[in-house]
Amino acid sequence: ATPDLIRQYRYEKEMDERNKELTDDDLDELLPRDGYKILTPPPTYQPI
Amino acid sequence: MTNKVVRLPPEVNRILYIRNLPFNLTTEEIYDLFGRYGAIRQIRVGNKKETKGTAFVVYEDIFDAKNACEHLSGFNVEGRYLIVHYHQ
Repeated sequence: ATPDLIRQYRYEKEMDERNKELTDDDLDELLPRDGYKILTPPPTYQPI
Repeated sequence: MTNKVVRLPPEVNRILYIRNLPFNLTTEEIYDLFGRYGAIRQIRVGNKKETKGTAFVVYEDIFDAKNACEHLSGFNVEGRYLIVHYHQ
């Protein structure tokens, strides 16, 4: 495979890793619970 | 065609740490402010004396987080300038 293809493949693999799904447990590990309130999304919230 | 592969610096990630957030914003206003840049995975808002005015905003997509960070740093919300960093 050409260097470009290898670079592209490595980039995509890295991005998949950095964008992989974050479970609630992941978030609890990454973020403080104490002193913070987890907001419930308002009913009007439409993810774009 | 070789598209230029733009590597994101390592500190860029989906979690933004916000400081200088006004205390009286409603959940709707907070979701509106940050939701403009992409789908939001979760928001945690400081509710104690030492965490008031700070928040963690988690985006579903790392490029949305980058976009939000670039646009919201120094953004004026009700007279306060937001301080936005990537969570380390």
